[in-house]
Amino acid sequence: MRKREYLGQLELMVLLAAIRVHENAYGVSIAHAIAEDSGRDVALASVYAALERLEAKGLITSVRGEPTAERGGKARTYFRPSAAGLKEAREAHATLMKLGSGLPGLKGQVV
Amino acid sequence: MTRRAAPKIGLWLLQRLGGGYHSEALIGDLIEQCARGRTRWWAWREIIVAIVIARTRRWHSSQWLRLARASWWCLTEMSIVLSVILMADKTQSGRSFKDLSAPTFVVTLMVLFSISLIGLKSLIRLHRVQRQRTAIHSLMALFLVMSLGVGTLTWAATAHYGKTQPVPREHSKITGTTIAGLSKEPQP
Repeated sequence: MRKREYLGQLELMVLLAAIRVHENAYGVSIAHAIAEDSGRDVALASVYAALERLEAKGLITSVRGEPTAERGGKARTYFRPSAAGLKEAREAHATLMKLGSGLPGLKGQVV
Repeated sequence: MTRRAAPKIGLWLLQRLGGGYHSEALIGDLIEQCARGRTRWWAWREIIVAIVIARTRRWHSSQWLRLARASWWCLTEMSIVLSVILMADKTQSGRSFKDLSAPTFVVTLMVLFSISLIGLKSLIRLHRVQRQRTAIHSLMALFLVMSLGVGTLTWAATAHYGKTQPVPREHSKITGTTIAGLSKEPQP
């Protein structure tokens, strides 16, 4: 049986943001999605580091876009969650919901 | 919207010191965001964070982990070679089933097999994680593996055959005559 690797908080946030952005998911759009939903300003380098870790775990795939003049001739890298990534996000969400349900300290708050 | 240029020195530093898997995409993002009105302060903060993350990761992967990987690889290879030699020796010398099923032999073989399997599994997994590997690193790794293999085999052969060579009868007993005989030239 394959040992399950648990995701860190940032990794989970990046994975969920990549799923949320879906099309056009690259470094900046993922960082924006996290900032909008969590209220935290995340450094782009941290997002890319988390994306690299997720890619190494096979939870996300990357595709290089076309280089543009606006970006100084550098190409964007688009990220798509893989089937394993979607499964992992679903399982992590379900686990968090189960752990948080019925806790008196969390009543009335979003878990 | 004010169009600003990304700090060139900062980007140069990031290119030199960053070196992550997606560093080109990150540089492109910084240029794009600065062109869309982000401040130079923001760009510098991003550059510093990126360099710190890249350096920390590189340091972690280059110092102790490399040493640990090399030691682990050495141990795995030695276990594989020793288990093969042990099995070949036992089967070639025509030992009985009782000898082959002796607890010491079985336990030694199991330990060696376990180390080999765990080592190979972890090394294969590690190799999958490492995406960027230059040709020179691969060549160095190949050379290291070959030299370790040859070295281990030579050592094992010397240790094995050196021990089992028959001892001359005249040297087997420590008596006055043999000690006197030792000082003479060996007989053909």
